[in-house]
Amino acid sequence: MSEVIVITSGKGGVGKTTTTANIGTALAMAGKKVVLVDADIGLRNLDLVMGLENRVVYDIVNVIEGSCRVKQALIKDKRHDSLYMLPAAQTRDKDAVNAEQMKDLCQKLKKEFDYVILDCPAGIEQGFKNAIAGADKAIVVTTPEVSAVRDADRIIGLLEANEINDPKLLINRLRVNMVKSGDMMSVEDIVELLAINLIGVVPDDTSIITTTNRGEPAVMNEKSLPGKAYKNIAKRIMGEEVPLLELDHKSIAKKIKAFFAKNKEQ
Amino acid sequence: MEVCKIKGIKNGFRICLPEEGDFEEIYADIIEKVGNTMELFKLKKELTVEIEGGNLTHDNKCTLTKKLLEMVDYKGVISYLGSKELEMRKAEIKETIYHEGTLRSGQNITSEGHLIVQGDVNPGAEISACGNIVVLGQLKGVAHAGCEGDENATVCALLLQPTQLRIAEIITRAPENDKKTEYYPEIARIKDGCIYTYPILKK
Repeated sequence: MSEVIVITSGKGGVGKTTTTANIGTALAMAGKKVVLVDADIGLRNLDLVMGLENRVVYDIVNVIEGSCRVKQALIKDKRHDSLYMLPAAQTRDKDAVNAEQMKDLCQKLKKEFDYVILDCPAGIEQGFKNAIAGADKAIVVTTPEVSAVRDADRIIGLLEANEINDPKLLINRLRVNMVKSGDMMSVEDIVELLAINLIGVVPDDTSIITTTNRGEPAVMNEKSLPGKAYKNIAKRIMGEEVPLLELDHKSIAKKIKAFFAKNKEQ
Repeated sequence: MEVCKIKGIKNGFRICLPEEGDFEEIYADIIEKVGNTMELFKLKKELTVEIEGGNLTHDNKCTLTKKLLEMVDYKGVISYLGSKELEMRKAEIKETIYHEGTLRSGQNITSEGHLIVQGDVNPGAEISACGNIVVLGQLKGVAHAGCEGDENATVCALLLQPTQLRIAEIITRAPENDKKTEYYPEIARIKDGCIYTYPILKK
C-alpha cells in the first residue's frame, strides 16, 4: 500500500524541507522505495538540502507540461538507491501547475513508489492547494512558538476542509531547558491546543544547520539526536510503535546517581 | 587525407562534403565515418542527417541516400543542403543579446543568437543560447550553449563555476569535493564528446 504524504506548516522556516529530506532518507534507509516531491515552485530548496542541486535537468513543471517523462525528471539520490527526488522549477511560479495536474502526478508516482512525500510551500495559496491536492495523509510541522502554532491550527482546519483527515503533528526545534524554565511552550501545551495526534518531537540542535548546509540529511549521522528523532518518526509512518525520544539530557553524573538510587530502592 | 567531415547537430549529424573529388572516394569515406558515428545515435528514435556541399549528381545522391537510410535503420530523414539553403541558414543567425546586471536565482535569459552577460549568474539562475555564452562575471548557475544542437558552441566566464554546464546535448557538473583554490577566466567547449574547460589567458 503506497501513500502520498504532504509535509506542511503554514508558517515558513519551521523545517518542512529539512523534515521532508530526513523522513524520506530514513524511509529509504529502512528499504522503502521513496520519492520526494518539491512542490515549492519558484523557491526550490529540497535539491540543495539533499545535495543534488547540480543534477537537476528536468523539473516538475516539465513533467506536468509533458516536455519530459516522469522517469527523466526523477533524480536518484547519491547515497540511497531506493530514494528519488522530483525537483521544483526555479524559473516559474506556483501558477504553472494546478491542483488537478498535481493529483494526476501523485497517482502516477504512487504506482512506482511506497511513499510519495510532498514538500509543501509556506502559505495557504495556490502552492499549498496544489501540494495537498494529491495527498492521502498530512504531517503538520510546527515549532514551539505562538505564531507557528497559530498557523498550524489554520492549516489543520484547511486540511480537514479538504478531507485530509487525521493529520499528524510534528513539533520541531524543541528546547528542553527552555520548556523546563517555562520560557517555551511544552509538547503537552501544543498537543492540547491543536488536538491532533503527535507523530514526533525533534529537538533543537545546531548540527542540523551543518548537515543541511552540506546537503546531507541528519538521519545519516548515527550520533545526531534530531536524526534519531526523524528515524523514529519514519518508523511510526511505517506503522511501528516507537516511544518518544528521551530528550532530557541528564549529565552522566546524574545518570549514575539515578542508577544507584534505583538500585538502593530495590 | 580528409575527404568529408561529420558534425553533430540536434538529433543527428551533418556530413560536409568537399566541393571536388571522386565520388567513389567520397562515398567510401562517408560510409566509414558514419559507421563509426552510428554507435552514438543507436538509442535515438529519429535522426536528422544533413548533407552539405559537394557537387553530387542525381544518381550519386540516390545511391548515397539509399545506403545512409540502410545504415540508420530507416529511422532518419536525409536532406541535402545546397548553396541556397546554406545561405538562408546563415541569414537565420539571430542577434546577440547583451544583458547588464546580475542574474539572481529563478531568473533566466534565452538567446537565439549569442549571449553576453555583464554581471554574475547566481546559483538557481539559468542562461541559454543557440550560440556562445560569455559571462563577464561569475557563472554559478546553469548555462546551456548551443541549445539547438551546435556542438561548436562555447561558454566562457571570468569565474566558471556553474552548477551545471550544458553544450548542445551534453550535460556535465563539476566533480564533487573539487574545491578550486585559484580563480581565473575559463572557457568550456566540447572535445571528443565531453565538455572540457581551458584557461583563457595563457600564463
